[in-house]
Amino acid sequence: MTPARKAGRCASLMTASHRIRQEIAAVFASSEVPIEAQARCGPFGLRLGFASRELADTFLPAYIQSAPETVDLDLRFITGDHHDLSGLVPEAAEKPRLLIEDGIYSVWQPAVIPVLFAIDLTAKRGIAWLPTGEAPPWIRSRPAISLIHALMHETPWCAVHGAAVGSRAGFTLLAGEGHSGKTTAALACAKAGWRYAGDDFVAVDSQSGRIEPLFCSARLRPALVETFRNFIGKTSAVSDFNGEPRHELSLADLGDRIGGGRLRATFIPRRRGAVTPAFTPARQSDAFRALLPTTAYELPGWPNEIADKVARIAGLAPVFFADTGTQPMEIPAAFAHQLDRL
Amino acid sequence: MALTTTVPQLISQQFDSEVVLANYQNGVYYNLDGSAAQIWLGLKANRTVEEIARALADTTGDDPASIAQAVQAFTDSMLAEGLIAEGTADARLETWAPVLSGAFVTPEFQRFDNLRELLLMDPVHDAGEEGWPLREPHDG
Repeated sequence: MTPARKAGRCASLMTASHRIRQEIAAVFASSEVPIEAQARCGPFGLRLGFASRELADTFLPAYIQSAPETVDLDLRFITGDHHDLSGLVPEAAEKPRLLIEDGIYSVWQPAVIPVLFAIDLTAKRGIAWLPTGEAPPWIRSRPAISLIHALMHETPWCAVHGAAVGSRAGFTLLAGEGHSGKTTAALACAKAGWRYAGDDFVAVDSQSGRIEPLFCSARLRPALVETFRNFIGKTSAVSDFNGEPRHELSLADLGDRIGGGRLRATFIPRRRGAVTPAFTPARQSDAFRALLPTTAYELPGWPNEIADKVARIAGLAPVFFADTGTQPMEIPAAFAHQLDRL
Repeated sequence: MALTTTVPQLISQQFDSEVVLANYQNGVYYNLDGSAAQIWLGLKANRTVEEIARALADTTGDDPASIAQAVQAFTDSMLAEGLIAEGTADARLETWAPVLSGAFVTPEFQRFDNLRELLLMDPVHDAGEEGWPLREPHDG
């Protein structure tokens, strides 16, 4: 038996988690990282490494760059040109896969543009591997969020699908499916001077109600560009997936106004024909139904833990349906008034 | 065969007298309220269909025979929908009693599948917990 064949045979006897752990270690041992940065992401500090300027240009705008006190995750973005990790791609590569085993969490998302995310929770090292060098548009605004989800396992924190903005009256979590008006409301409030924690996914402590931003990104439908033209500055690149075009915005220029605070109310935006914003009391279960679907779907693994956290978050503060009206710039005053009444 | 409320890929949460069930693989949500929630909670407390029907009749004072029929029919519909399953019963709670005010109302579940198409369009969520079958290394 040739040495290569013998090595191959040994490799085939390893568990998948063992192989993934080895490859993560090899990625960190073998290469220089031309572009490094530090960021905070929810309650975590990240050290980011990008194998190319192109990767950094793709993903770094979404991160809240700052020097964290501690590094909770060392994360590398690499492509198939930098590292051949094809040995980790599971059989039946056309199927998405999830592995949670022996301190390794890994997700294979083949889709149209494949991505492999993996984290060694013991070593606190993670990788985002883009085999073709291309990045799926839907991960640019929330890069490697599944690995952040893995870091939150067995903590009270949860990355929830929602927007969050705050004023002196406290933060509101905006929960609801796509097209419900979360981004419009969040950007209108940010434009009015509120603190901004995100328009897509935010970190929420399910015990204390503390909200923290995960990213400084926003995804804006082209129809709303004119409404926010002065706020967003130059128009950014448009991603288009399944006929859903979005401007992928970085709101890094907001500086200290990218931040978090204490949850005061959960609003469920919906459009029911009101001209001016109107609020209707809703139930904890309404908030749960608004928050859970995309949260549980886009963060693979531990669905029951997610559901428990989301249920707790849904019960932390009063819940209202918010018909956001026809004039986005009236939303901040209406939200502030509603929060002040609580 | 015993009935269980512990069903793979189904998330359940109780909010006061309401139960929300979510099939996180296909994006279908269900809302159980009133007698429907009480029947599901009775099964979760490891009561038989007969025990649940009797308890509901005692609580509401309505006709036991028609309640028994309605509970059995609703249990069958939950089984068909995958909201409960045949298998090892859930742990038996020592005390369980339905919380219901007013007359018995025929149980039914609300089904929400408006998110289904939206979620199925998005390829990110589909990772199943089916393990990670490694490829055989090439001999080169």
